Amino acid sequence: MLFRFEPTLFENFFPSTEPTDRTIPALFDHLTVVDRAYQTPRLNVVEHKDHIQLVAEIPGVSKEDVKLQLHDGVLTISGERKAPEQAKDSELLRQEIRYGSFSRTVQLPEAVDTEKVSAEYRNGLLFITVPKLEAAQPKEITIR
Amino acid sequence: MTKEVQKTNGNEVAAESAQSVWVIRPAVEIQELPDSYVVRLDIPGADKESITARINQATLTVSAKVSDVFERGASQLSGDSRPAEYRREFSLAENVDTGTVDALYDLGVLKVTLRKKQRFLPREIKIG
Repeated sequence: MLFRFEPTLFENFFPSTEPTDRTIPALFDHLTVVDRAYQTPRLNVVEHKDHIQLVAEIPGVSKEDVKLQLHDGVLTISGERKAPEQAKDSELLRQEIRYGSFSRTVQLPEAVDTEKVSAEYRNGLLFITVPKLEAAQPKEITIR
Repeated sequence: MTKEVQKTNGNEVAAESAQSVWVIRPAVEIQELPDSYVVRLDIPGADKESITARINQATLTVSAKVSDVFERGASQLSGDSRPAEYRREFSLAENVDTGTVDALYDLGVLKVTLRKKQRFLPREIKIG
């Protein structure tokens, strides 16, 4: 019974995988379709015993151009990747890198401490740490 | 400079089964200037010390390793946590001066500058 807690935690990260009666994930599913002009950075989500770690790939973006917002349990990473200055008389031979706005939204599970979310930008990666609430951490129960 | 060596068949290829390294082909931007080529590669999370840009004959090979993006002791929720390596090869045009390669790594982007050989540069001839 104790471990049933965790699958519940997971599900909120993937609002589209299962029908839910929560309105917020549904709302964001819709937004994702509309905002195709935005790029969505690749994101990895890893769960630890006492926190959840999110790593977003946003190379070429200065720290000042990244915005991290948390509202009502919804975490949004957004910003702009500015194109490097292009020299005069230069010609683009290949362009696979995309510049412009990006945005990614994640519904955090309820059992996290949203007051203590921290973030760090390193080598093109944004590391976000979301601590779990005490109640959501696995506990061992002593049998008397 | 424009040609890329096609060695792998997919975008992200799991290679080297012996070691199970996840080989990623980074996105690239190539610019030609009158006197040089500027190559930018997206290699987020790469360790600076592991980055190599090597020219062998007429091939430029860029590679970099990504180590320990994730803290240990995690149960994976999404993505691929194997050690990753960025690698991409380019065949160089005749006008590239293979003696001087300049590389700069910043914000997860590697900028490689290749100069053109002197005799390929545009020059003005004085009329006497």
